[in-house]
Amino acid sequence: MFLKKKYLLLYIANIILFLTLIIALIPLVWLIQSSFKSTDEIMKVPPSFIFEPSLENYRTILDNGIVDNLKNTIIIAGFSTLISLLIGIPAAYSLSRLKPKGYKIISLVILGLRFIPLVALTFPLFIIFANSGLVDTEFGLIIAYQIICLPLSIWLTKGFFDKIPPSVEEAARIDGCSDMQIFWHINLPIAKGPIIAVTLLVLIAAWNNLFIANVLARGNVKPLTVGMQQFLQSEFEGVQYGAISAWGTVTTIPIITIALIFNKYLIKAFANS
Amino acid sequence: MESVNKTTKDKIFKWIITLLPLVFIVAVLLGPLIWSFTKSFTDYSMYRPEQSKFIGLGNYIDMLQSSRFWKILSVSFIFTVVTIVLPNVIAVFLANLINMRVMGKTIKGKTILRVFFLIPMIMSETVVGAFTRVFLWSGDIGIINFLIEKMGINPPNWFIDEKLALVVPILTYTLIYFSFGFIIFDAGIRNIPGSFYETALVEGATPLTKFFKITLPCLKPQLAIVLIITLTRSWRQYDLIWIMTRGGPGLSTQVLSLRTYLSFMRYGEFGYASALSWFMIISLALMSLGILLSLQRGSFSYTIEK
Repeated sequence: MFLKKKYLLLYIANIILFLTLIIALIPLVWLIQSSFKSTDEIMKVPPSFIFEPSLENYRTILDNGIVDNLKNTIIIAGFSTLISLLIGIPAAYSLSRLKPKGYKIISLVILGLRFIPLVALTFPLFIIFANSGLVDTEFGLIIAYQIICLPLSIWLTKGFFDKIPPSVEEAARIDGCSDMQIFWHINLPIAKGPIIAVTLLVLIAAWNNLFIANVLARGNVKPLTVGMQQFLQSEFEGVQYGAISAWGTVTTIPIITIALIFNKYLIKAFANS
Repeated sequence: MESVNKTTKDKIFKWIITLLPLVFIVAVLLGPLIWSFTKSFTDYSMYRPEQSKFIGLGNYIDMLQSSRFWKILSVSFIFTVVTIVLPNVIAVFLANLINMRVMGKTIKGKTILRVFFLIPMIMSETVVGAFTRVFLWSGDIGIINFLIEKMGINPPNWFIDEKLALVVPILTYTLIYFSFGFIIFDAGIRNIPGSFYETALVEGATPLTKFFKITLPCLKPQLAIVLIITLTRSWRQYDLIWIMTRGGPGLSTQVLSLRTYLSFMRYGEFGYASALSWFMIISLALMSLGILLSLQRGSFSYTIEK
């Protein structure tokens, strides 16, 4: 009797968890589904589940420059991530393993930068960029995105290097390997999994960012997040619900796909952050 | 350890991989940050930078004397407190549920749950914000007002009612970020040695005492991380609120980042925006410190990893 009651609790817990999962998935599923609805279909409340799929919304977003915006997002988020790794991995390795003078203070400053409000860094960059013609350029945005990407990449990578026990490099050291060889041939291969995870986390942050691009991208290099606003703002034509769904779908699908492919690394990274 | 001879090559390597990143960090992040601090004591305007002059604490005094600032501060504060508590209480609850165990039987579908809970968090705040604004909260096709109406209550207009407007970004934020705490608490709970609970079982502890006496104290390091990251994300929140309400109606959802954005982008007041930014930095640092100190106290003295 007592046991039965306990099993019942377990079942209830299971049900609660799956109900929460459904709620958590509503935005994605509903978003994709709505993107294939015609204007008449989309206005139905409650929403219909069976309907004739239409590509109307995708035609609308094609006419509104989704291809350019997607291209901008891929370039900006991709290169921002790449640069933050190229700078971040050596920096993290140095702080974690080679411990130069003042490494504790440097580490603390970088940790601090991770928590700085974006407004505090984006506006001075805007003025500097305005004076050097970098506003509304891909290069400028990639540099500015380091506000988010670089502290994240350094701090997470450093955390992983810290966890590699020093014993793994002792044998190599006795064999006369230099610091660079140890970095390149021993510690970097060990950290491969974590580095994939860091890449994902940085990429997600860069892909999804609105604020920095909203300040620094005018017309030429708008990423998807900035482009999405046009459908919420168009006061004269009314808000375009279908286009919002289609635009959101295009923004979401690539990053979700990548994240789900590498979900193992991602969960580990979150758990270790 | 240090007895191994450091060759010149090693030294060069160390200098390169330390200095090059450092130069970049100073040039792109630290330099502009400090520059904005010095400009927070001037009336620097984007439109006439050459005329800017030193005004001491003028910007800070203006800020503290404006009633608008205190309103915005209170909005930020309410938003932050609720978005720290609500998603993370749900997260702790769910993390406990998924690790439930009765006589060797466990929850079904754990892997699926752990993977798919990630999805809202991977989606852009901009997308979730825009989409839920229309499909959940709007007056014409929003499902929430449809359900409220079904219950026989006159539905509110979430984007016009100043008392309710903040509910919209808060609940959407909860939907996006409850899984962040969940993943971290879940990992934390899985690391608690089973023997802790066995002793409790012998002593006949109820689930509730087990939670407060064992689980929660063991989760202190995770709590510190989640609370501080959530605090930061909420205190500097911009994307979600900008896309959902633009700070309106009135000032009812205008948070500090939005105010700073407007004073810079609309009025070009870089000096004032810098003062606001630095107010945000300092207040954030103080609140983080407060959280860390209050967690460090208490019966279990777990060291909090940075």
